[in-house]
Amino acid sequence: MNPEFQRHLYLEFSISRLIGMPVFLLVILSSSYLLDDLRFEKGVSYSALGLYTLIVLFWGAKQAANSIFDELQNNTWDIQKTSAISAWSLAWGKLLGSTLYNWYGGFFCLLVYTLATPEPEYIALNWVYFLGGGLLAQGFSLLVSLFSLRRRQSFNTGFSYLLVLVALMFIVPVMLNSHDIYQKTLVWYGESYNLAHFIGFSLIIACIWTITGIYRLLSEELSVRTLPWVWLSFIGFLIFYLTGFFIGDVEEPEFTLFMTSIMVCFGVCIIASYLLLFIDENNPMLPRKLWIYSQQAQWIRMFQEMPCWMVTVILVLPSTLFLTLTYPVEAIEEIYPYPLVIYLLMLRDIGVLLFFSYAVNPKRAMGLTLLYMICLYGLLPAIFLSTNAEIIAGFILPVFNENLLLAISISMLQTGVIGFLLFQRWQKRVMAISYN
Amino acid sequence: MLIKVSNLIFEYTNFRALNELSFSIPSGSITALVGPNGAGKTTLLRCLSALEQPLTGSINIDGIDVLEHPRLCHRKIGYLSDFFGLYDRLTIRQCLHFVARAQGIKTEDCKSAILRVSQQLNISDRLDKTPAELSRGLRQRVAIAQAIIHQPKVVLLDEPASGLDPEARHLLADLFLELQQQGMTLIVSSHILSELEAYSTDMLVLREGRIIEQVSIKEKSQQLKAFKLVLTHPVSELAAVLSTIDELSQLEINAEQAVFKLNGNKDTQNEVLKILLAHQLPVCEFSPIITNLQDAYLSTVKQ
Repeated sequence: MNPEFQRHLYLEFSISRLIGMPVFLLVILSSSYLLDDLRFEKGVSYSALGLYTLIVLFWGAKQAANSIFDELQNNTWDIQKTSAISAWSLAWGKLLGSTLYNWYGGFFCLLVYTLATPEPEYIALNWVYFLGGGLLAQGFSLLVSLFSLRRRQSFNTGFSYLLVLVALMFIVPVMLNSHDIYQKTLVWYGESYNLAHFIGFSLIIACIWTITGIYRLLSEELSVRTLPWVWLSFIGFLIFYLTGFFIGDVEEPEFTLFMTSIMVCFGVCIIASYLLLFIDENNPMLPRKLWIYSQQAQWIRMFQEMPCWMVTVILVLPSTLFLTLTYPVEAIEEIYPYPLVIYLLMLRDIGVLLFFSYAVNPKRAMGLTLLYMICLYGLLPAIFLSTNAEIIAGFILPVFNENLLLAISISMLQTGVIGFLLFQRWQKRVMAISYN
Repeated sequence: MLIKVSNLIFEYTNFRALNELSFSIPSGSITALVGPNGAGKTTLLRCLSALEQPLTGSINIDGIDVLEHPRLCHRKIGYLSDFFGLYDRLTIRQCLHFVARAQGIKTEDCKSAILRVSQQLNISDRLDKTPAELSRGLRQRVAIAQAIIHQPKVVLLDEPASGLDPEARHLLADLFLELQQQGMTLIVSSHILSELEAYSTDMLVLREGRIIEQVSIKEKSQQLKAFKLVLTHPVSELAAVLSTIDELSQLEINAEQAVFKLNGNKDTQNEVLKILLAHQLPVCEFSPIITNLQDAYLSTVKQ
């Protein structure tokens, strides 16, 4: 048996807990049965699903996150890190082991739901939804807690509840009305698919990627050197998956597919870069390491150390240039979303976050960056636009300039200034290392 | 050599914790890793156990590149952290079982491994207690049991004796010698030099991230074989007499007292004493100066 899974078995299961869970569920579900005029159908099935959501999704997500933070709190993380247990064993040992008691309770809930549901014809796929939703919520929570571990920051368990909402997006429609979902269709790459089947399939894929992400983060935590293939594959998958929704009946399908893929690639990479940048660690030593490895021509080592957000920023550049040269930008209410301008603004924002992260006390870096973004993207342009000072607004947010060259020049200027300040700070922090 | 470290550099944001360290450690030795606070001892041990990734350099333990294959290497390493933790909600037996399985010991062999290591550390009678019920010394023993349950070739211990009473420290010293006899190689970081002296065969002195000395303690004590000569009253020709004796070196003469290095065995000592008495010097004391690891360390650090 997986040692980590077995350790959780020791911790989570005792005779009293084994008896306690079914007794508790029996009491709640009996009350629901009594309140529903002694009918063993919709009311009870909804109660069972509600309990399932609480026990497996919310409590389970908290348990999954705690499987990492308990180790840190008790100084036992080093025991696991210096053991010979593989990252894969640790990943599923933690994910399933820490939540096993929740699954135990969840199983009873699903059993009652199966017996009481008024829509028994959909029960098999609904089980996939509920099991997948639970696994996804717990997996997300574990994944984000591993990111927090990289930043050596405490993880707010309240945040794990927020992640549960993502999993709930998959299963709530099924909970509320299975029948409707099963009758609807969805067009993906021009083909029509049953909506319920498509969501179920997407849920399974999401679970697989989440578990793969946990495995990769744990590998890095266990000092196993890895190249960012998994991340690149994930980005590739996202582009493929999302492009399908934008492809419909068109006259030139091949061109549309290619162009749409490039546009989706641009969008996915920009969003992924921001997201990763905010949740990953931003240590000023990292650029120094990359610099030294490039100097020593240790290219593999350099890519092993390169953070995934940086890989994505590099990846988005070809699609940015391609779109800038070929794609005719259409104004959206006086806003001109030129790809190169968006790319440069992203570089500027990355520079700002790193500037705050490289401070002596970087704890508030994320908050400060968000504040700055709210000002530069929302408050200041709104103030100047409301006073008819469009030119100034265009200098603050270059997408207000119709002239592409002007917009690019302003973006480059802003990025250059931030880049200069960032370099100064980085030099001050890192290049001034005392060599004793 | 069982452990080979080459050009190891580790940097924190503001300073270089390990500065181009290169050293080798022979199999079957107990190396005392000493140095002032902030010298880089803990960082070095964490790099050796693949818990930290250095900027550059290589670490090879028993033929395995630690930085490339950390998990392979962990089967050969036992590590006890300075701030170790234990699973307080598990019994000691469960803790040991978990670590044994995590280190790749087969389920059917776990029982014998737990029995062996618990007897070795005198915790057999406490296997069904939880770590929370144990004293600091016993918790330390459980942590060491966890570190050696898979019979690693190399055991890395960071301040293993901190917080222990003298008796527990003495038991710990015996344990380390026992592990050495079993063929394990130990690196022990500690501030308590008198304790290290009881079992260490080698000493690695770190200061500000650099190795300032690596020496076999036996050699060191032989090198420092100093003697003291005390006379009942000052004799003016003392310096002249001592300078004629070839076996003496590094003479320090002060009135009726002299300190010098004497190369040779007991017979040489006897010969030297005869010469001193033949010159009718009023000798009242002629004895070796006992130096310990602390003196050796302090003299190294002062240099």
